[in-house]
Amino acid sequence: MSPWGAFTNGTARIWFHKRLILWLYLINLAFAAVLVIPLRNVIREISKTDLADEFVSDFPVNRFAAFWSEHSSAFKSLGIAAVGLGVLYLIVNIFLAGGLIASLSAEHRVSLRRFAHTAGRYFWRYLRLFVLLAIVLGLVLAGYGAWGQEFIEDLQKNATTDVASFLWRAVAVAVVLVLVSLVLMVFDYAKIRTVVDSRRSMFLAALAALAFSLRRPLRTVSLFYLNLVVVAALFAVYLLVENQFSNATTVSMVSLFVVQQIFILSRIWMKLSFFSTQTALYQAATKALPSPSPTDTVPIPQPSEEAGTA
Amino acid sequence: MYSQFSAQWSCCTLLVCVVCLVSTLPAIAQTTIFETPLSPRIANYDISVTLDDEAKRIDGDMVLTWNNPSDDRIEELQFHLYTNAFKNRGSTFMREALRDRAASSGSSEPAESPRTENDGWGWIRITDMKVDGDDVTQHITFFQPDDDNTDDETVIRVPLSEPIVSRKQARIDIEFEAKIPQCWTRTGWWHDDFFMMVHWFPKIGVYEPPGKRFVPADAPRGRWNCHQFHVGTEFYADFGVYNVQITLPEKYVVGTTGLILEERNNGDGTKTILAHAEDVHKFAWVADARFLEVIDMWRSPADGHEVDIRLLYQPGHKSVVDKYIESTKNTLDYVDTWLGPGAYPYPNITVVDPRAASGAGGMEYPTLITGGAVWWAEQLFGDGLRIVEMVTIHEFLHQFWYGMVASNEFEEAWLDEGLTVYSENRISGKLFGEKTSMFNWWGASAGGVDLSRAGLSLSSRSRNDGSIADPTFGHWYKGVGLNMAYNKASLMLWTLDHYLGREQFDRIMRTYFDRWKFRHPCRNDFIAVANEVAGENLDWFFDQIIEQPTSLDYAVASIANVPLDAFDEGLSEYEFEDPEKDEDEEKDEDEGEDQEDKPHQSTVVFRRVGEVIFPMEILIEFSNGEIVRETWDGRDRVKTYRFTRPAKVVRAAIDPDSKVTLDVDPLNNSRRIEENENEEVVNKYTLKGFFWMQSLLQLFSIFG
Repeated sequence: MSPWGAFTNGTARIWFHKRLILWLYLINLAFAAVLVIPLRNVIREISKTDLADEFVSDFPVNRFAAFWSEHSSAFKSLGIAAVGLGVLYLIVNIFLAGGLIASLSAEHRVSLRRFAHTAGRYFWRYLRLFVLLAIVLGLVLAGYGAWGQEFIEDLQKNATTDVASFLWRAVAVAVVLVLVSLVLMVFDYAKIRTVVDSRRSMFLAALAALAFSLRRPLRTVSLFYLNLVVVAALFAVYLLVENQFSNATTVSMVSLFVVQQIFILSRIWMKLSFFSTQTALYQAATKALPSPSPTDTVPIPQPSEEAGTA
Repeated sequence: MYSQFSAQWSCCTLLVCVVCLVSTLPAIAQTTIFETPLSPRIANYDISVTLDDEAKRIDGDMVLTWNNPSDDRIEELQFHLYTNAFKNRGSTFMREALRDRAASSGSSEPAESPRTENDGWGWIRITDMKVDGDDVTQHITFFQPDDDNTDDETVIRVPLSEPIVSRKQARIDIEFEAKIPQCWTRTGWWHDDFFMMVHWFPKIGVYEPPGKRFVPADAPRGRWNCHQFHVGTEFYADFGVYNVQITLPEKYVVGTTGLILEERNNGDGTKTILAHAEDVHKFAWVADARFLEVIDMWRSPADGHEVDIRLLYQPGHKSVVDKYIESTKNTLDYVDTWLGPGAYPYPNITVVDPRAASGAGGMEYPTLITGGAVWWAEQLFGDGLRIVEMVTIHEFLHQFWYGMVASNEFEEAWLDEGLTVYSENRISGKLFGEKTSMFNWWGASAGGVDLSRAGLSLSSRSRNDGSIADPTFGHWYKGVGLNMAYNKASLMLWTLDHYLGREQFDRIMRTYFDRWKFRHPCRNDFIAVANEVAGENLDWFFDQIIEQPTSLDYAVASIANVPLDAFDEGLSEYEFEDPEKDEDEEKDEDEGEDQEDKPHQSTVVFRRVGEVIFPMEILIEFSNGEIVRETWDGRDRVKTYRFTRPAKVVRAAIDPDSKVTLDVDPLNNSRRIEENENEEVVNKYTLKGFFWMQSLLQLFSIFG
């Protein structure tokens, strides 16, 4: 299967399992809502002053700096809470990943109960895989810091124009991003292999995923970056659209919020897209059978021809 | 390291230079820019210098003609040798710099500087010195007027066997050599073919006779003012005439203080630049093998006089050429009207766009300024970020507040930085909008005055910055001096501007400029001019703001509304004013049926939070739209206003028009009752915050 075929097939799978998007969105919404009330209370302090008018029509950086300073302890608490919530959200996502991949690799719709059961089955394995991912990422970044960074900094320092200096810096950032993305890609396949091949050793799953990626470097990397390009395009579109909502009327505020929620939904779609498209590629490449159908699943209708069924 | 080859090369070039000096300097000396000297011309230099760009060395000789400005017999001379600040880790500058780096990195240990790598150290040495023919080389000693750091070699004293008598002239012949440091604080080389030459020759200190600046008029004699080189150090020197001959490889494009009279190719791969400057107190030059050049001209609409503008810019920076040129012209336009036609008397200005990351940007020297353009920022922000404009306007304004009105920047940096920031705010506010003059991009904006307020406001919460009057050297630590000299001083001027009115304040600025240009004023001189022109004694203001480490902060403490019928039910006066009153109870009182239409007794309490006393305007708005404006003398710690009106107070503000820019906390300057709060702002930022939280969570989930 070509990367494009895997992409279209994966997209069809997400559409078939679109209730997953709703579940992930509701979880995201619930987590974010936790901090809304304390945040609103802090913001309310502005509303008691004449500076509120300035904040409605604009975002005066200097005023905000003063406001931030005056309420630094509240902002600090909010920041700590946000990071704590983020870590919790990460753990929840590690928990959900098994259910998501199992669903996307199955030919039947999965009930919420079954989804949760499957997610629980893979949670501890994925947690171990996450620790492994953290170690590998740490090693990659440490390796870059030890050799690559100095090399780039030398190039940057010796660049005779700031254009060249900036380009070297851009190259450095790009190298880091590519390394990190490749690691993430390999670990995506490790998760997929864990579910599809029912693996228990996460170390071996990661090695197998690496071997899979190395045997098909063009297809795996192309597919991964195809997804990334779509994500980047989404960001670009969002930034363009968001810039149109600069005034501060209630209608525009609500409209902007709607656009932002569509953007959040799109990003959830793309998160699923990474899983589903890579699962499609893996299953096609290994001719792996779909996950065994649980008893309480709904038969899956055949994806359309143009979706590129595996 | 001083190699044998370098030594031979230097000797040869020195010989050539001496011959050239003899043959060319008289010709330069005949050049006249100003028919009548604009300044006392106390320190006049004829310098010949040769740059060895590979060895990063210069060799030079100079003749200093120094006029004793006092009635004293001068028994010793003092000179700055500032290149020695970069000589070793022991110099006062390096100790302060390493301490600051350690502080900013959170380490208790002084951090090493990257600028001292790759042969980055620099030094200067006087090899021969004669005063009126008397060889004094052996009598030169280093000394440290500011601290006891004997490792610091940035100031020398030279005892004289024959004192220089009152009002007489002395000729000082000096031969010197210097190793140029890697560029740091606008001094040195960068990338092998860029040289910013600022502290490059032995420069005599300023002898202050009795009555000058802080020397008492009845003092028995004057004193030398010759500080060591510190972090954040700027300059203080006497005016004079400079004739400078620079020999260097012909690949370099050179910019200098003053006029370049001649550029001569020597036929040996080198060229010689002849430069001349009058009525300046410093001579800087810059050489870059990559400079591109633009020549332009500004003509005064008022009297038609012209100023040549020469921009030296970096390859790849074509897009900022117009910004540099237009900013220079806009500044000349503004000042020509503000301070008067011909306020900038020099025939030219050289604007330098230095190498990125060289550390040479954003600095002022007489008739030569360095800007600062960052390529990627220009591409990203375009006109949304006014860094190039702001820096160019700022540095050019230093031609007035430093270049001509030559205060002592070591001791009173606020007199040039504060006045310059204030002037810059006025120009940039007019050009780009007061609220958007610095930054206006993607829905976020910031004006120059507001940024200064934010800086002062943030620092006032975190530390005690001392006072404006504290000497800047040794006070620059962790940005303290910067905050006082730039932010607080400029905001003080803005506050005074609003207090006195623009017309009267401008008269003060014009008088100060006219009276003190080409002289060395101190803060007492500025205050004296302000008092004289304002026609009132403003010492109460300056004493509090300049001399004391105090802050100005007024606040609206509380608003209370009680329906008049509540009194019929037996509320006492005490209960009415009780600040501890239960909020729910107060709310009940406010939200009773049809309270809007009922008469209320309202109390608004204002508070002086800071130590500074300043008259403040107050504004009180009622629910029926009525607005009351009053002036409070600001003396008491608490001021209570009581009203009995057919409506209740919904808003109160102190300094409602933001005229008292020195107020460190604008957030507490206004208050609204709950029902008058601005819900739009709450909704707007709650929705934004909610989305940012959702996005942050999704960022975490990448690894899940």
